[in-house]
Formats: sequence, C-alpha cells, structure tokens
Amino acid sequence: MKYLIIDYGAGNTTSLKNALDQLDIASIISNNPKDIKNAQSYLFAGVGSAKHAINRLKEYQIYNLLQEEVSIKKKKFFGICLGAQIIFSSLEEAEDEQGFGWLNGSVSKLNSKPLPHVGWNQLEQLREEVYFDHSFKIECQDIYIKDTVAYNNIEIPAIIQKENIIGFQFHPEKSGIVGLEILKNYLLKDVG
Amino acid sequence: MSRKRIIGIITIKDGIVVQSIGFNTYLPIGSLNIAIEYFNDWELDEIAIIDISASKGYADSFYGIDLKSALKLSSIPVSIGGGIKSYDQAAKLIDLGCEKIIVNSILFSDENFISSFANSYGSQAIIAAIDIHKNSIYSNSATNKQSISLQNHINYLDSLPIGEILINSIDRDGLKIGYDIKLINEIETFTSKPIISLGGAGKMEDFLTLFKQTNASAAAAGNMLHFTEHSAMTIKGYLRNNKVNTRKEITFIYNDTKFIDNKIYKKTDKNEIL
Repeated sequence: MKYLIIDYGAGNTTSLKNALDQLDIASIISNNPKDIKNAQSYLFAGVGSAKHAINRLKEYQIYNLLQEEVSIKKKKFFGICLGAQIIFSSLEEAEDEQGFGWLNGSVSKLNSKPLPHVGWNQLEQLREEVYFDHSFKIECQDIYIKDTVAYNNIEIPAIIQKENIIGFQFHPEKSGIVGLEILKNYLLKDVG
Repeated sequence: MSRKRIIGIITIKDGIVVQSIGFNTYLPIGSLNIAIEYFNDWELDEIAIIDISASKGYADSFYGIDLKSALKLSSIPVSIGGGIKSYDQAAKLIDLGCEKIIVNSILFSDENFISSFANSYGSQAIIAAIDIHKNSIYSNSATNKQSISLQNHINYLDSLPIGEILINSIDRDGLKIGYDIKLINEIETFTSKPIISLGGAGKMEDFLTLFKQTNASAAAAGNMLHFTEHSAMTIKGYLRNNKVNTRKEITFIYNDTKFIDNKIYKKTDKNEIL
C-alpha cells in the first residue's frame, strides 16, 4: 500500500483518510509493522498529544521501525500538526520522551494569548487561508521553513520540509478546497 | 492574524436535524448529510454537531443516523457533543471522523475525564460548553441547575487542559435578538481561552456587534444559518466591509458575474462592479 496513515491510538486519522479519499488517493490506517514496511509514504495525523503518541508508537513496536524507514530508507513522511512537531526530537509537550529528530530544532509552547492558536489564518507565501489549532510552535533553521503564518506578531513555521520529510503545522485535510489542493500537491510531488 | 470564525451548529434530536427555540421547542429541518454539505458549500468556517437526545443515555439515537458517512462530507473541521459520558465515547466520535469533542455535563460529574482525554488527543481537541439561563449555569440539556457561580466555573475551566469555551445563552436561543454581549464581556475577564458565542444570532449586524464589542474568537449560530442559502458568505462579506477579518475561500460565480464581499462583479479583465 502506497500511503499509510499511522495509527498511534489517537489523532483524526479518519478525517485524514476521508480527505485522501476525496483526492482519490488510496490509503490505509495501520500500526502493523508489516504494513509499515510495505508502505511507500507515511502520514501522521494531528489531534494528538506528543508524549502519548510516542509511548504508543513504542508500545506498537513501530517507533524504531519508522526511524529506519524514513531516515534511512528515505520513505516520505507527511506530518500534520502534532505530526509536524514529532519530526523534532526536543518536544516541550512530551516531557521525557523524544520525537524522531529528523530535523534539528525544537518544539515549545507558543508565547501568546489566547491559546490555542485556533482558526483560519493566512500562509505568508502561498497566501491561502488554512485551519490551525495548536499551542506549540516549531523552531528550526530557515532553510527548512517553506511557509509561515503570523499570530499576534509571532511568525510561526507553517510548512517545513527537508527532502522526504514534510510537516504542516495547520490541518490541510480540514482547510476546505484550498487545503486539499495543498495536500494533493505535496503528496503527489516528487521530492527527489 | 487568525480570522474571526462563523461556526454552524447542527442540532440533532432523535436522529434528525432540528431547529431549537429556548431549549424546549423543536422543529424539524432535515437530514444531517444535507446540513453538512450546505455548511461546507456556504463557506462556514467550522461545524458543531450537538445531539440533544443524549440526556437519556448517549448515542443510540445518534449512531442510528449514519454519522460516519455524513462526516465524510465535510472538508472543514467538525466538533461533536451532547451527553458524552466517557473517554471511550469521546474517542469513538473522533474515530468516526471529527476533530473536537464538546462537553458540558461530564465536567460536573467526572473530574478525570478532561485530563485523560487531553493526554491522548491534546487539549485543543476539547471544547467546554456552558449553558446559561437567567445567569445560572445548567447541565444535562438545561435540566440540571448547577450551584457554582459563573466566575468560579470559568476560572475552573481556564485551569483545565481544554481548547475553547462555548458560551450558550439558553435565554436567547432561537429568538434572534442578538448575542449576549454583556455576558461574553464578563466571561472574558475570567479566562484567556478562545470563546465561542452561541444563542441569539438573527441578522448580520449581530455578528458585527459581537466581534466589535467582545474579543470572541467565533460566532456560532444554528437556526439562522440553515435557512438562508449563502447566509454565512453574506455575513462574512458584511463583516469584512466593516473591517472584521474573516476567511474568504471562494467567490461564487454565476454565469459571467462574480460575487465578492456582497458586491457583484462582471467577469471581465478589469472586474467592473455592476
């Protein structure tokens, strides 16, 4: 199966699958190691909590497997919201647990009010309005930040990418037609 | 900066979408599928589905309608609530295809629910709803008056790992007399969480008043948004014309005219206003 939505015991995985179905992109939701080895790309849905997600991945014995498939075998990884944050190893929300660490950087609480940053906001580069719902913010090198969003004068990375690893801080699967377009473009694009 | 939101409320009683007035009169509107499709097409920002049959025991009536297939129709976020009594029920709802749960009564009966659900799904996945009638707080579909003061309850919610607070004015429900501005202003002093205001919306001006006179993050409405095609778009155009920032996804195109912010443009190279 080409696209696998990782089942980590939480997340809006059904919503994400619904979006892929809308785009006519076949996918399965699974945490089975065999399915993970067979998949060519992974999606990590948001609506989850970092510590719990990482614990579950380890429980299902797929945390190390995903490390291998993504950072060594270079399979594509598309992370949404929590999924974008889990790309980094230093996660304030996860306490003693660590994210995958595929990019250098960290994730810490957004220093603003009100929290969460919830609602539609405009991407600075793509100029499209997409849906955000998060309280933590990614910090990483500019070179990996493909788009940002402004919230109370704070610039927040909204799309990050390093080769086969892509993170969306917003929810493209729930951002109307515009969101689906963005999702489709990234899923189907060759990252080389 | 994030936009002000218009949230469409879909009230379900015994499996069908209803219009509610004062929490005791219910008129049928129709099917959930159609309501969700219309709210998506008419440019609402979010949908909240509330099951009011649930005080008798959650969900038989709710799952009787095909909620899972109805949720496939929405490409904007959906929140669901109404009589949620356990972590498993809440998790099941997210699994059916939504993003957030709305809880009220369980806040008074199970103090562990919020933290255990937030631990798995994140605090942003929880909307705490408060039903207010004559300045008192009610739970269980407005049947159970709570003795806690508004201030104490809001302070309590502010300390919990939740995402947003939905303020529902039972007194104004269905009456189209505008939102309870005074109430929202009061509540804002007790919390820094995003507030959703519900109850009383009847005309475009009510939304403008809410966003000009309070810091509410979202305006929610049920009744008025179901009956008028494009009403959310009209409201948002009106808000933008009055300097309130709202989302603008698509412009409607009929024949060779475009409809943007309540003005009609002839679709030419110069986009002349008709």
